[in-house]
Amino acid sequence: MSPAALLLLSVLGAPYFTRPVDPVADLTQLKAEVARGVARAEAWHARLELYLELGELDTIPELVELLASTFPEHAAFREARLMFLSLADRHEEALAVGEALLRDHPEHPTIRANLGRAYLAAGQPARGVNLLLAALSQGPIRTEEWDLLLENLGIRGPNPQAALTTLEGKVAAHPELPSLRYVLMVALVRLGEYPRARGLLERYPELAAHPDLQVFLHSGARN
Amino acid sequence: MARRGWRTLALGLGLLAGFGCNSQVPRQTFENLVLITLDTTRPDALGAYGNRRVRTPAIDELARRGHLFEQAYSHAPITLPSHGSILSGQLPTHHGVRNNIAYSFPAATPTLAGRLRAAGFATGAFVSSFILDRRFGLANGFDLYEDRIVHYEEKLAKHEIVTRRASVTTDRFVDWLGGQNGRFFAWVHFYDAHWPYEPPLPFRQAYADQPYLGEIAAMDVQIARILAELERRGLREKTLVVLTADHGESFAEHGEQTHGFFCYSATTHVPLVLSHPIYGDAGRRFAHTVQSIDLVPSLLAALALPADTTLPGRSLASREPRRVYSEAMIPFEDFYLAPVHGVRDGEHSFYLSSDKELYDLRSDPGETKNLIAEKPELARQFEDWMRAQLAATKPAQAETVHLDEESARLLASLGYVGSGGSFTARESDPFRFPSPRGSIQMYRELQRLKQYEATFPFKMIEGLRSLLGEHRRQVVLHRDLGRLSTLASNEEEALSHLEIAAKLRPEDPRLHVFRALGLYRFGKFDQSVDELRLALKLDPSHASAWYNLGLAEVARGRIDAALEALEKTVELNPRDILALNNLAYLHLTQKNDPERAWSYITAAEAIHPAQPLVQANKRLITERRGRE
Repeated sequence: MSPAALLLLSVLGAPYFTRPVDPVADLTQLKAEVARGVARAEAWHARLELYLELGELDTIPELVELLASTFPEHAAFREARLMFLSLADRHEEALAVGEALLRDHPEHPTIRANLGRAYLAAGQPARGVNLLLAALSQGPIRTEEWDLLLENLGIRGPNPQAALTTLEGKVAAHPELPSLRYVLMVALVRLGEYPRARGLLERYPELAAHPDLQVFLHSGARN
Repeated sequence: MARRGWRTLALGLGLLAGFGCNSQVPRQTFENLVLITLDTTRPDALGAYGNRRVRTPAIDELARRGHLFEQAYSHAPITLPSHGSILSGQLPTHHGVRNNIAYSFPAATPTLAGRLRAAGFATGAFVSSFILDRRFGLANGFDLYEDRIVHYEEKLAKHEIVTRRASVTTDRFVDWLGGQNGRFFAWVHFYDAHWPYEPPLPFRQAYADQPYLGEIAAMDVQIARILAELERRGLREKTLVVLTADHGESFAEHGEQTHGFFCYSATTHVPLVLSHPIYGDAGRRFAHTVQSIDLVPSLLAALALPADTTLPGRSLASREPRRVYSEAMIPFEDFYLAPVHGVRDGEHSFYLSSDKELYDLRSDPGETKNLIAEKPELARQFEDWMRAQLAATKPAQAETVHLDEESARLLASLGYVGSGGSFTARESDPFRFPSPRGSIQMYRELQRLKQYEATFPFKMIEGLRSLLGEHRRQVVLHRDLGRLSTLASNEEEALSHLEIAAKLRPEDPRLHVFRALGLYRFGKFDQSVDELRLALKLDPSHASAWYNLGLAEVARGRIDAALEALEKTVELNPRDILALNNLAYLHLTQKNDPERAWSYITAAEAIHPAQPLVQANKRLITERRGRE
């Protein structure tokens, strides 16, 4: 490799120097592909991911509708429609789309979290919280979903101790749900009750699988 | 008898003063010292300072058992200059480190570490960010300077930041503490609260609504570990623990996000907590104004070491009115705007830039109502004081630092939007530049756009074009648009903006280097060399210019000139592994000298053994040597 190639490498290494998506052009292209019967779900899924990563879902309402109707068997497009409708405050439609999607794809990893958010946005916290807890049982949820969860459980409210007591009651009533125990551990951390939080991690080591949690657990061991 | 009676009386008075009032002399001295600096930490983000949304039990307990200073201020809103002041007891105008990246703390300026080592202390530093890497000069005086932060090739490949968490830094401190048998001084630096706010689990989830506070809570757990470790080893009572910050963090105060552009209270007000009640009752809170440079004289006294009367700071306990100096040089050094110099006493703050501001801190602690027109006489007094201070500033003692290419990229990963070059505008009147207040929105937008640079640079290009509509003469916008357009292979846009930038500030060698890189990229090698020669005429020690001159000369087929330029690079920065690597490659392939190539590649490998290019070329050279 020559020295000059070093500079060239840095040039070639960085992605997306030009805009990879264009709402108008993409819609035109999809319409044309649908008309010709050559649209490929995988390719459009990749493009949809780009819009999501760029935070530009709100710029493609028609594209999302068309993708969802063209590829009804693909959860990702209907999920994007659910998110778009919720963001647009079209709550009834969003919840209907989300519930149907959940029935069709009960094992999908992110539908519960997104539908839970839609319920919270629609002012229906009970179902929203339950869906977020169910999502957490499936796998990690995003930071903003933790924000919603703790807020709606009352941990950040005016009476966090009462919320904690309620949460402890739920944990006792549902010992089969490790996600509830994890939420309790996080709530205890927020309230500064570190010994109790560590106690949960010690009693239920499966909750402490993440290396950060091992650090937290052992940071207290010497205290 | 009479004289003896007087002595007894005097001793008795002294004792009374020590216990009952506010003695400037510590009533207790210590064998050891642990200084904890929390980067980017606002006092009002701590429970001890009244925050009810965060849990900081360790810091709160420290304050309950010791002292808390409500009005402590640092001298710069950025890491390296401020730590220079904390550790030396000198203002940035004296030690000469005015910015991150471009300076190295001067070896000739005495530091707390050097003083304590000379007094027989073991000294150890445990830092958590590349900004405090030993190359920036603060290692002086430390027996151990623990700055092994990352395997940085891995971090670069993943576009990760070059810091380590408080838990890892604490591990290093605890390991070192176990080996101490005599008096010791440890400086432990945590960087967690610095942007981006991504606390470790479970704090990331518990503070999902306020991740900055999550970082603070996570650091507090490690502070608890430090205190527990001292306790476990029977050192707690013998060891004074001092906790402070280098600067705060702005959350939209005065339009600023994060820190560095201004020096208002939001970014210079810092926490200061002592573990022991050395100036009065346990839990006592002091409301008078103190400053970072008060730490060194106060700590020398607390360790029963001789005072240095040449230091400008005073005992922390002294209520004697202070005028606390601070400065924000980033606008000047990185953005071609006027610098900001601030001064505050307990009642007012005054800021001198190309405009002036005066605030009444008693009625307006948030510094929202500028009284410059209402109190012109008071403003004039502050301005006279400030100008006298600046006129008395000694020439900077600090050395400038020329970063290698990889290090500059590392710093960019920390969110620094400066270019990391060596240029310091030698302006007789820096206040002729525009006020940074008029550019804060531009700066914020640039910070936001920088987040896209690694993954979606087109978003940054779009944003820069938009910003240039309002800020046509802002050199940094032209430079960055030119740089990114170069990478995007957009020749016309790249070369036009790089040319504009270089013509707007022709005395800045960094801009000529950027232009040269653009010219090189588009095959204009002769012009590229001309531009680099121009940069080197302005600054003959500009390592990046020498390095790129080496590449451009290779492109022109002038191998001897290339070797000369690359050797000059290594002379200026012996740790520049890319220059060493390229010298090795050229000696192997162009000079048919595998032995010389071997000496360069092994030098590069000794610095960063895992660097992939170095490894690839080492294999190549090894094969060649084997064949011969």
